[in-house]
Amino acid sequence: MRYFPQLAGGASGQFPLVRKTRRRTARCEQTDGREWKIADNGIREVEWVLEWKGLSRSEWSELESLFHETEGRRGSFVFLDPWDNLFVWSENLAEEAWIKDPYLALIEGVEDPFGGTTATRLRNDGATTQGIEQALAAPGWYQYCFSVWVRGGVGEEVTLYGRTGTAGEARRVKLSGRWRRMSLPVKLSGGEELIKFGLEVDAGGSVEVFGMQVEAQAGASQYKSTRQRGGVYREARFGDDVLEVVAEGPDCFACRVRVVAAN
Amino acid sequence: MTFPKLKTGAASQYPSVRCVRYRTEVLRFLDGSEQRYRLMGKPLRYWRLNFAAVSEEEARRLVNFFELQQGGYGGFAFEDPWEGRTYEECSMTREEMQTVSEREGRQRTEMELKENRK
Repeated sequence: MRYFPQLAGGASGQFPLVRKTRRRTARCEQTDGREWKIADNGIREVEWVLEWKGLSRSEWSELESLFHETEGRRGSFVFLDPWDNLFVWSENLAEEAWIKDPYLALIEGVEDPFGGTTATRLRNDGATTQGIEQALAAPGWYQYCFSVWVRGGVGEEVTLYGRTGTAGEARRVKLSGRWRRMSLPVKLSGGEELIKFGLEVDAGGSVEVFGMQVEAQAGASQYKSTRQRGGVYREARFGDDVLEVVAEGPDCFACRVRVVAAN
Repeated sequence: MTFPKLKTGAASQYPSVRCVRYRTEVLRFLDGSEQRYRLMGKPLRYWRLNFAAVSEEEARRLVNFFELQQGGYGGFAFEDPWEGRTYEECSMTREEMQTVSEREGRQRTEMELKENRK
């Protein structure tokens, strides 16, 4: 599987980042201004325009290698949307995308930190640690940041983790009775193409969680709620057959890349 | 369905544009005289709404609304910020929506809406 490269700092894009959403409607307009419309559901596209500056030679080479591998617009690759949450169903933990341990009870509709009722209470009815996680079909060696708001009784603890089959990082967090956003930057070694993020509750524990988010970057940004569509695009392509690079100085390059994917 | 508002309750930011469109058929005769008649019973309104500095959450709400409408296909109500009147039958004019992330937490986009003839 081919992957769109990350920059050395672990980011996938630089500001300004342009993202376009595209649909198509067949229209027939009559002279009196009335319109007949048919939605074309086959055309649902997203496009990103990435303007990169200050790239090192190795960063540039990685991008150019991918461009050669895909032969411009012909081949596809996996693209992690720098604008989006990589999780699907970020507020619906009962969905199948979330893998739950058997003794973990979910109570939805709990008050969230923003006054809504989209948080979920996780109650561990078992005698051992129980967890909930989501697996992402994304490169295990990329830089990620997992973040989530957690609330629980004073002194209670939860464990946030990111792991592949052979490597992992975890953070044990003490709760204070108030909502707190916790984050866990994850950068693993190895070449696995599946990475899981989740949290574990101690035996008998009960915590409330909201806003599960994973981003392909080093730090957490503003929370983005997702439903069935997350930020992992497995069939992305370059938008052009030409890749142009500007050498701005020694070991300093700039380029503009268009990436398109069906949404 | 109603077009979403920003956190402040505003429909858009400056500079935003509204235009009114008539449709007139003009027949010009050999002697230079003209006959004109209207093709549409009433004028239709267009709005180009500017969102020069919105938060990520606001930008996502607009993008989600665009996706829910399937671009120009769907219809919704829009409260005209110029006169406060709600136009019940409106739609997007474009099939593409562009969002620019200028820095952390700051996005820029624009949308074009039109009033539909019932």
